[in-house]
Amino acid sequence: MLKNYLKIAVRNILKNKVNSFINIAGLSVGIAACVLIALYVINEESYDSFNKNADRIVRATMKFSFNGVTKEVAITGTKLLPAFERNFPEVESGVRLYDTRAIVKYRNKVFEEPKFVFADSTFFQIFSFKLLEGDAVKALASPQSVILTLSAARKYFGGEDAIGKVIRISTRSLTYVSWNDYTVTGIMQDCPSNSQIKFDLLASFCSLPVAKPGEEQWWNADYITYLLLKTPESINTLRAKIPAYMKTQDEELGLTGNDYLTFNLEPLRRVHLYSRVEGGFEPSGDYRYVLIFSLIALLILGISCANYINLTTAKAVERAKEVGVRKVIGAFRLQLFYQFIAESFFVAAVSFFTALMLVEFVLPIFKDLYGTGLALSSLISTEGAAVIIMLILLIGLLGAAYPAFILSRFQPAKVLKGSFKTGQSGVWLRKSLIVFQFVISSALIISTLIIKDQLDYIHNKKLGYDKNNIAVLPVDETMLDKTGVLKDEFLKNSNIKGVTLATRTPIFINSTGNIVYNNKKILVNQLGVDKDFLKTLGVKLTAGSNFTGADTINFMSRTSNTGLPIIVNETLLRELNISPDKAIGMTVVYGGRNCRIKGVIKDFYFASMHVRISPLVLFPNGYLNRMMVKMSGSNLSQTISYMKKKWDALVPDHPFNMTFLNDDFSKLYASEGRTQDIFYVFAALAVALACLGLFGLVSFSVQQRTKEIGIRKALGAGTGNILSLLSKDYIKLIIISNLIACPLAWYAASRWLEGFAYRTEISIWIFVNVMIAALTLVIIIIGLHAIKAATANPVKSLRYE
Amino acid sequence: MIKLHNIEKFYNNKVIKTFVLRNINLEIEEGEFVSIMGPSGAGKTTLLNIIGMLDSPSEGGYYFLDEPVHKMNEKKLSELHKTYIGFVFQQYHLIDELTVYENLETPLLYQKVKADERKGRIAETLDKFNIVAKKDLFPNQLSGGQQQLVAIARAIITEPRLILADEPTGNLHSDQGKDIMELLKKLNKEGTTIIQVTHSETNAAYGNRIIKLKDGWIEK
Repeated sequence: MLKNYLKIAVRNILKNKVNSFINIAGLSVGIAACVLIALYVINEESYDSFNKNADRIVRATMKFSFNGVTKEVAITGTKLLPAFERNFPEVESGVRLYDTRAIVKYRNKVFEEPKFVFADSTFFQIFSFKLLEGDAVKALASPQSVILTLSAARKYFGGEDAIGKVIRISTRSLTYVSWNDYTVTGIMQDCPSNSQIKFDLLASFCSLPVAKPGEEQWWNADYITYLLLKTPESINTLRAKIPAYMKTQDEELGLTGNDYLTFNLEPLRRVHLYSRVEGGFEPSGDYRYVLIFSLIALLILGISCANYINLTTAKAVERAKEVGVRKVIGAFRLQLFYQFIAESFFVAAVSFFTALMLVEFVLPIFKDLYGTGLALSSLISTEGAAVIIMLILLIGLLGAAYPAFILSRFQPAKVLKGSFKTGQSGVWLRKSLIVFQFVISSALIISTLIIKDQLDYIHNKKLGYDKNNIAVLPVDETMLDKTGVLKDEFLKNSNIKGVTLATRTPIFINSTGNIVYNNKKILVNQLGVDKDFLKTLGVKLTAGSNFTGADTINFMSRTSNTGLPIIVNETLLRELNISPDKAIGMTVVYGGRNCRIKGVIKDFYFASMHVRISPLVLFPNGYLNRMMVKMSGSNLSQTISYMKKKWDALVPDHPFNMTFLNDDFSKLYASEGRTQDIFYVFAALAVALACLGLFGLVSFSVQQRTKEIGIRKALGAGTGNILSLLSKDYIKLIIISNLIACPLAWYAASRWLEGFAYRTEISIWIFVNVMIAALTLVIIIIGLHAIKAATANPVKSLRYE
Repeated sequence: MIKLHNIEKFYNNKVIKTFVLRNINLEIEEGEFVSIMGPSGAGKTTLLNIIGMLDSPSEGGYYFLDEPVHKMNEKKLSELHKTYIGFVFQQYHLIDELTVYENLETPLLYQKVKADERKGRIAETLDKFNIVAKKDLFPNQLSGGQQQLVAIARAIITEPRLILADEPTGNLHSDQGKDIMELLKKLNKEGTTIIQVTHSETNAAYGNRIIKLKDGWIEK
């Protein structure tokens, strides 16, 4: 019986080629979108799950309140781990990690390593990273030991045996300068892409001077601490004990009044998707995006199922005779119902395998869009197989239930007479589904356009400094004596307009200090700069004057504790209630020293536009980590190779790792950019699928109305009349869809925009344009059919009946 | 075999009741070959459909093998219909997507006949109708007469006791028509009860009884 059903299914698919193509192509694309999103969700959900102890590992975050300002960061001091191990029986063990960068040298190979981590020797007992060579217990036990990942080992040693080799390492720590020899004590597999901890080299924590037992510190938070608890449940008891314990440390911490310092615990597996605390290993994912994308994937699938339902019910009339005959020769209604369900499953299964091929094909593109870690193979698991089967069943049922119900209901006595028409059955359902499809499509397009508007707004916003044509070069303390010469050499090139050094680039400043004035203490962001900073980056000075070279020398020598010059931004003055004209020359306490406000700058954006501009202090530091070079914009590549030549000659120990300030700025909005890209893709898919379905439906209804059109033509109707006759109903539906989509999209987009402190206005034109575009598209689709029908000879079409 | 008692069939429109069959009283014995005749719109096909259980009467009683059909539910009806009745139509109504062989197989599948027996019965029927060579062709590759032959073969393959034929030769040349009528007569001789609807006096002559319908009434 099943064989008979399948035969009919296959022959029907082959018979109605256009219809089958629309059905299978539509469903495949819908399923492919779902599978892609599923891979992404599986990857996000699987974060850190490879750790055998995952349910017992927690990340400690530091929460502190200082003069009424409360902050929470994912970094802690060195003391947390030893103190907790001594005082809390819940803690079995733990590991401190220091995430930094380093320059690594082996023979003539020099690389800057941005993913260089120091870890306590317990690292491999807590996490399940795979050590390929070396001893898991001893590898990080002694100072100056380092473990390389397989790819790092290949980079430095090629095929040679790496264990026991000595490499030279210079880390970028403020307290720890100069080159040191490290011995390779282990080789490990590269970090899994779904690990929150990622690195290329892992050195022993005890190499750091701060790791000495006497150096234990609550403050100086630079380290990420993970604790291994005895049981997963003890997280709650431990969490409850911490505040009281930390209160006993107030004296050591130097805390008075309402100020406090305490710690919170986050289960390892929740960190990636749910933690909002900054300072951890990598910018985390966001469960809200996981939800949004899952929802979009389901909606896309819904659109393609709607196509299937629409076309199948519309075409039901063509199957009516078969149903009648089968009933006459003895089929029960239920048997017919099963037949259509089986057919639908068959189409669903064919579509599914087409979809898998599609996914395999587009996965590389999607990988670029979303980073690494996605592979079809992650579907090969019990859960994966279950999801696949569920999906086929769901689509099969969704697509077939209604048509099967309608078709199996036909009365043979009626359909076999041949006078039977089902054009009317399911019209209401068909219309609702079209509305559903176009609501989704329009809403997605509107959202995409609003996201694009906001990103354009960010990129075009006057930042208060000039970020174009600025090259950024990392500099460290080991080459401080050379920076002056470098600067002079660079400036000899006529295409280089200015060179400045600062502790970091102005794109993202998160170093904080505090200012006291008039008994009022405020938290400020701080940036150390040289005298050329304002000029090179085009930051406007609104009052007072710029730093001089002498200011830097004074500040560094720390000989005087008064009158040290600082430059502040306008927001800081507003918060202290000082008017800009009175500010110059005024003394405030900054970082415990009396400082004089020497200049006031116009506010510039130094964090992402999600947050408001906050108070900022520029101070004339000498220890600076970033060199920024302003270029004219012409002959860029020659200018860069000129810089590289000078750089390699003067500081051969340091790789020339140049980036553009503009690119660094875009990275700040990488996740929004990706969201935009993904929305583009899915909005386009939704529109394409909805149009494909509409195309199929219109072609069917034109076919059905051939006779009517013929009669109307014979009575003198023109092409325009025929077009309006055919499109009237659809145009109504599209207008209704857009009226529903607009408020939905408006609400969703407003919620998203609320996340930005600086945001664009939602323009009414977006809604109007999308509506016009949708109508145009529909008229074109209908027009294609209508013109054919309207220009056909009416005599011919009438003769057919 | 068949007893119709005061059968009425009408359709209710908003304003008027349209009668199709009026006060039909009819008895047909097993083994008869009955022809129903009458002008267009007299209700012939409706009567045939009611006898074939594809349609139900508005009023009156219908007893098939002494069982009250008018009181049965849909499932019981289907069961009765598929065990005892075979249908032949003017438009043949083969399933276009299936071959001759598969068309013959379908009713057996619905009756859950086992695979071996199915094969045997199909082979036997193909043989009997002399269409073995055509078994892998699709309906649209056959002439009208051949299609009707397959349709009759399909109707009798489940060995029904009653065959209902609605103008079986209406779409055929007279030669082909004659063959079909001979075939029906042969089946009747072998014991199958046959009721046909026809316009043609010649065809009606193949039967042993003629019932004339006019405006829904049986003409006496």
